[in-house]
Amino acid sequence: MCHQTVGLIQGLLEDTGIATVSLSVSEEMTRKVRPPRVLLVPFPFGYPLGKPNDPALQRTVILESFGLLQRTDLPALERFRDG
Amino acid sequence: MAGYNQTREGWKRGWVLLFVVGVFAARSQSRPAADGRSGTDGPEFAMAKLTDLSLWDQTFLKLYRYRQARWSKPACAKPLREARVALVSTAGLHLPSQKPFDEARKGGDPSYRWLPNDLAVQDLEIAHRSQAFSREGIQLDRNLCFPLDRLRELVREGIVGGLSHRHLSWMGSITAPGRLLSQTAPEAAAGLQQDGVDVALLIPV
Repeated sequence: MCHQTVGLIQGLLEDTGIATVSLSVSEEMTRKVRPPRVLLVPFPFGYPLGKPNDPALQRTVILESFGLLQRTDLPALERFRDG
Repeated sequence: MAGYNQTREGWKRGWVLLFVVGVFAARSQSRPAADGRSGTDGPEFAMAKLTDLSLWDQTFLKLYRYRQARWSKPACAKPLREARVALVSTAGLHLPSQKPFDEARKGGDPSYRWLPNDLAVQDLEIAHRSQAFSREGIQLDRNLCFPLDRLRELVREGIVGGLSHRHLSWMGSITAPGRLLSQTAPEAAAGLQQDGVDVALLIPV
């Protein structure tokens, strides 16, 4: 249910003028919720940033998600490319 | 007569539910077990599937009527190097000094916790009722779901403008999001707005 909760909060934040992007490990759930900007990441439940104690991977995920912030053709859904 | 009809209805529902559970049981057994899990090192690259979950969770999530995110227009993003960024987590994180989320509350606890920007990431505790995700990785490194240390590095390097003085935490398993939508999320969003936050990174587990 985390993915729905994130999507709903995300929509509200976007409307207060805060540009938002979220991560998703579940394409099935995210496609139903349709948040404004989402980076689909190829990791299991419980591992949204990829791996524990892997700062380089975590950093890449964050930077790639920030890359979606300038998108205004919403909802914007992209896949993580570095995997 | 009414009692007889109600009993009949009850039986019908029971059979339908049994059938649905049976179909999912058959489907999930026909799939290979989730692969790529290599000890505490964390898994190899593969996106999560609903079939990774317990039969109960799968059935629930297949039948659940999802709510869609709503917004009226895209927020205008500042360049990242000038932006103030906040994290929003639904991993059920809280400080040891804060009240844990209520894991027993029907429909899910819609409350939130403010997490101060100067916290030590590894001090965070998890109160999350969902059994759908493994805690193993997060126990080793909270940055896996709350990457505040990574954001601090990006600020030091000048890639990100700055961080909000506080971040947000929810417990994500909210199946009845009425109060989240009407009260707690708008309240928290107003808080971030007052803090002058330009960008939010939201992370489910």
